[in-house]
Amino acid sequence: MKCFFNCCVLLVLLSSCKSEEENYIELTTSLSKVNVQLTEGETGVIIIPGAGSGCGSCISQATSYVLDYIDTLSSNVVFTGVVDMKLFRLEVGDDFLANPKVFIDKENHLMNTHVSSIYPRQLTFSGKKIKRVVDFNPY
Amino acid sequence: MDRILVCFLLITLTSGCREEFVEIHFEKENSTDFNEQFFLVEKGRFEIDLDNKTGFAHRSMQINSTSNGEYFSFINEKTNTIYIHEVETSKLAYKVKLEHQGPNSVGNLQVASHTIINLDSIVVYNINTGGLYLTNTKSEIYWKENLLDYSGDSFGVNPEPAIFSPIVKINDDLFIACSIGRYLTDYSKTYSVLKFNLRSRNREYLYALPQVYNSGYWGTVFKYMPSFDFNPITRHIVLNYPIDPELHVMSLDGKEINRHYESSKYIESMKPLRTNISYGIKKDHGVLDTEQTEYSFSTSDFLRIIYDPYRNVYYRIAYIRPSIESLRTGNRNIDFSISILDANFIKKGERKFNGQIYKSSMVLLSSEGLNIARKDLYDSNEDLLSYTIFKLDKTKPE
Repeated sequence: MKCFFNCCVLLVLLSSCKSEEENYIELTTSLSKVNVQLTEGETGVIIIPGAGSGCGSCISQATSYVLDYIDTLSSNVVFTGVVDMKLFRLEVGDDFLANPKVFIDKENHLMNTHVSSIYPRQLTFSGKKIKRVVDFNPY
Repeated sequence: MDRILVCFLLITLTSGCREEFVEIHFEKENSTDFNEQFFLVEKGRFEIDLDNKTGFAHRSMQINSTSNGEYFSFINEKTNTIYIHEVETSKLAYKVKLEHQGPNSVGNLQVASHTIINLDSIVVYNINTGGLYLTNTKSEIYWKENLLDYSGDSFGVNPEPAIFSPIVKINDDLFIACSIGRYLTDYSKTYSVLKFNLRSRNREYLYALPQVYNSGYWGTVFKYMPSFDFNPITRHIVLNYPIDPELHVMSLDGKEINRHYESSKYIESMKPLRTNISYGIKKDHGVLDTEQTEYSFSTSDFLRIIYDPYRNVYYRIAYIRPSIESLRTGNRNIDFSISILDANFIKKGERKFNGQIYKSSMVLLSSEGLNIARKDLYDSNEDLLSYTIFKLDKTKPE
C-alpha cells in the first residue's frame, strides 16, 4: 500500500514538472513571435488582452496603469487580442505605441497559451521558469 | 491490500465513464438535400467614409427604409453618437450626439441598440440601464421608459436586442428580442420577445423558448438568444434560435402558427454541454470555465433570420465554428453560411463565407441586396467601411 501511494505521488510530481516546463517553452515561444526576448536574470512581462476578450474593467484599468507608468516599468507590455487597431491607437496614442517596451501581438499568439487569461497578467521569469503570475483583478 | 486495489480500480473505471449526450440529429431534407435554384452573387460595394473616431464594428448597425429613403446608421459607442448615412449616396446625413448625463441624456451607449423609424423618430435602447428613448436627429428626447422589470412579471428575461437581432417596429409596437436573465430547469415560461406599444406603453412577453432548451444545458447565454424578423405579406414573425434547426412562425400576438425545419449543410449535429439541465443553476457562473468557453466557440449554431421583402425570400445565417482542436491552436475565425429559403421556407440555396474576409454579424439588407461587411478591406484602409453587396441570382456563378 505504501509503495502504491509513493508511486502515485511520484507520477503526479513528474507530470506537474513536465507541465511547468512546457508552459514556459510555450509562452516564451509565443513571446518570441512578438519579438519579446527574455533577458538573463529575473524579467517580467505584462500581457493585456484586448477589450471584449475578457474582464473589461480589469483591461481598461491595466491599460491606464501601463499608460501612466510605462517609463518606470521594468516589464515589457504586450497587448493581445486587439480587435480594432485604429480605435486602440486612438485610445493609447502613437507615442505610447512607439515605446520600445510596448508590443502588439497582431496574430494573437498569446491568447491561447496555457497561462493565457481573461485578466491582464504580470508574469515574472527567473532562470527557465515562470516564477510568479499576478492577475490584474481588483475583485 | 488486494481489496483496496480492486476498489480503487472500480472507482477509477466508473468515474471514467463519460456522460451520454443527447444529440439533435439533423435531417437531410431542407439541409443537405435541396434543389439549388438561388445563388448569392457579388454585385458591387456599399462604402462609407469613417472619421478618425470611428472604428469598424459596432454593436448596433441598421439599414432602415423610411419615407425619406433608405438610411444606413450605427451607434458609435466611443462618442455616444448615431451616424446616419444615405444609402443611395453613402453621404453622412446626420450625426446625432446623445448626452451621457443630464436631463436630456440616454446614458453611456456602450451596450445599446437603435432603430430609425423616420428622421423625427429614432428609438434608442440602453441595454445596461434598460432605458428606452425616443429621440430625433436634433438629439431631443421626446420620452423615456424603463424596460427592465424585476417584479416577476418579466418571466426572468431581459430585453437585449443586438446587431443580429435588431428592434423591429410593426404598426405601433416595438418587438424586442430577450435573453435569459438566469438559468432555469424549465424554460416553458421563458419568453423570447418583448412587445412594447409606443402609444399605451403597455408591454407583453411573447413566445416561450422552444422545448429543445429543456433537453440540457447549452452553455453561454448567447446560445439562448433569439433573432427574428417580420414578414409584412403574411403578417407573421419568424423566430430563429441558435440551437434549434426549426424556424418558428408566430402571430403578432404571440401564438405559434407553425414551424419549419431548415439547416445548414455544414452542421451535422448539435448537443448540449450537459444533458442535465440543472447544471446551469448549480454552476458558479462567476468563475472562468474553459470547458464552457471552448464548447460555446466550437459548436456551430444559427445566428439570425432575415426576411427580404424586395425578393420575398428568407436568409438564415449559421455560424460554422472551428473545431475544438482548431480553437485550442488559436483559431478563432468563424466562417458562416447563408441559406436562402423561399416564402414557404423551402431551401433554395446556401453559400459559405470566409470569416477572415467577411464579418458575419454585419449583414444588412437593403433594396440592392444583402450587404456583408469586409474585414479584410478595413485592415488595409481604416478610414473606409466597405460592404460587398450580394444579389440573388438564378444563375450559378463561375
